[in-house]
Amino acid sequence: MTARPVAAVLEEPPPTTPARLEPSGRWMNDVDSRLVEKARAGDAEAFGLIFERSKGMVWNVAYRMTGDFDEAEDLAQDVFVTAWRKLASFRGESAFSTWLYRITVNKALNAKKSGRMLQRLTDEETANLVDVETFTRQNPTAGVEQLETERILAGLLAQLEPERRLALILREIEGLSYEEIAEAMDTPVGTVRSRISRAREELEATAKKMGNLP
Amino acid sequence: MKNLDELFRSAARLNAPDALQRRVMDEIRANERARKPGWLASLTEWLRLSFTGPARAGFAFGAVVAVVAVAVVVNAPGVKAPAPTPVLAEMWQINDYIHDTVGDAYAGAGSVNSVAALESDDVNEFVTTNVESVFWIDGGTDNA
Repeated sequence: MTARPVAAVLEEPPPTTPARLEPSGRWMNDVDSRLVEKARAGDAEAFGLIFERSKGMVWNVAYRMTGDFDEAEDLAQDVFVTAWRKLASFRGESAFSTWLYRITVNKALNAKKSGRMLQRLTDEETANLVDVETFTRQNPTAGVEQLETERILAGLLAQLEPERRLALILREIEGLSYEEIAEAMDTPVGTVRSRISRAREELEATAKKMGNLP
Repeated sequence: MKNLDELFRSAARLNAPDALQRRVMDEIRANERARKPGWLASLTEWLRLSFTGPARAGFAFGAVVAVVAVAVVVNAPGVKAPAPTPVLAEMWQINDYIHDTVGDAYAGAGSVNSVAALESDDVNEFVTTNVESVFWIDGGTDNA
């Protein structure tokens, strides 16, 4: 066990490259089980690596669920601090990423209760949904087309009720399997399929009405 | 114009803000301090960081007041642990318990805004009931 505190490790530059896109199109988020074991034993370096490797997946779900940078930061912070505190309870029965997604799901759905969740919006509100300045600062390579995509996507996701929105994000953007989503949401696979199917139907209908899709 | 699948495929992999790392680090640092001797001051700071947010300020204040009150009560001379005898706990267990009970209970009870509107006495009673009935904080403020 290292004597270095976790906070000190997190202050250091990123020790690894961010999550990468696998050939299948799925984002490779998982964390090596040996790394988790080290972190559970109190290895601060290991937790720093886990944070670096996982922040993208947590952030993307948090942002797309809240539609707001500040709220997403609150949510993502909550997820990581909870993960750090609960790490000892991770038994390795599921992939670490699934466990972390589960924490993220719980926090995101709690955000709904506390009113921090992206709400259904009017067309006018949707047009102003993406904070362009913050988005561009955080994603400097994004062009005009990417911004437009984000605006459309945020506007559409805002029309879905939270459980469907979450299931759709995990499936279509995070690339999880139905089984992984079921585990993360603690819901039967059939329910997950149903939520995603209905979410897609809703989105297609809404998009056609808004003129965003052919 | 795109179809739905194209839209999802073209969604950006967004970068997490640099501030996230700093915020997580600050809260973890507060957690680590709370596990060391002189825990009372650290615990209040940890609670403040744990529950402080734009809509949570009122709750943070109430929670800190409540936990300080509990600590004073259970450390006062002549004050016995309530029956049945609670578990003698380590500080991290108490931290976890408070976070789970208070945080989750209020998150599930309604909006954070309503929690912020609660009188501090209500928060005090909640924490006292839940914490004191389970844990006996032994050894004063230098528990560790």
